[in-house]
Amino acid sequence: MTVMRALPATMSYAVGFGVSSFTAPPTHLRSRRFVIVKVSAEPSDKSVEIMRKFSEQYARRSGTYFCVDKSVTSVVIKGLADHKDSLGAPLCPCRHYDDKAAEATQGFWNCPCVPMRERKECHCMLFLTPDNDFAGDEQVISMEEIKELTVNM
Amino acid sequence: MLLASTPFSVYAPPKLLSPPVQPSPPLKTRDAATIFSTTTKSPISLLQSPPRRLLATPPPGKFLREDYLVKKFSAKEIQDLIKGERNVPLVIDFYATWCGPCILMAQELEMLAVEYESNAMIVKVDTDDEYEFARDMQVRGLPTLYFISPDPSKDAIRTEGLIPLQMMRDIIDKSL
Repeated sequence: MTVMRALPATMSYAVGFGVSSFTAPPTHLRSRRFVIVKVSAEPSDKSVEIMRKFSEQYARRSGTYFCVDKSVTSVVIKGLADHKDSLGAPLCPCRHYDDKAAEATQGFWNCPCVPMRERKECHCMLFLTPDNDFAGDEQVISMEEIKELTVNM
Repeated sequence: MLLASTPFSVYAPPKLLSPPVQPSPPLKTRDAATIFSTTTKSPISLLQSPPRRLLATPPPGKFLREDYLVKKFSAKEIQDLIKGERNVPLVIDFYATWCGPCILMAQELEMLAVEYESNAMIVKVDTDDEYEFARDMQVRGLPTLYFISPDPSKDAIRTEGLIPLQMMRDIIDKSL
């Protein structure tokens, strides 16, 4: 289990996360109140695999299903993997945040987010209750499907 | 109501890329392994090995192709649009690269753009690129749509999340 450390906003985030693709923000931005964490182009395969397994497991556990259109599922899984790479926690990719790092530390929107845990509400359409119009009948998704459906994103 | 899972296109896309070049028959096994390998190292070694030959046409970008009607705008362009003269409603779609419902929304908006043609202006903004603009517009959930009437006295309408096509039509027709 990853130990989250609350770092002050002005510090560089290259310390402690072990992310190979992360670069420190330019000097003129470091004095700003917020550290703007840019989304990297493509998440690592390892993170995608971790989030894929998590999604399958959580769908089984919560009795929810993936979307009929698996490209939605694939994109969200990649979004979670991307945030896991850049922030250390799988922050919900379907929200806009003032300060991503602070939100990741706070944890409300870390997948599975509080609305999902409490009310099974997933606005990302990753985990859909059976009564939802968009819900399919599958709780599995393969790595090949994810790669195929997110090619050239 | 289930939406189509493939992007909607009205006409055949223009051929932006040259037709695929047939690979020469005697391929060395080492080259074949490099070319068809799925590891991330292979594109780099492929680029470094001369001479470069196009063995297969790279598939075009799926959601940001040149022939898509809904164009991506920058914050400055949007602000110029809002301040300037307009006689059609403006629809702004705030999205993010890895937001799943935003993909479905983009497909719906393409259909809407075809339907309304020049009777409505539909644009999209990447919230990862235009961070400050999204913050100023108080964008929280994605996708977020802003419907801005050409009449400056009317308030803008804002919706969060995936909404049905009919609801979007109703909002545009009402504000028009």
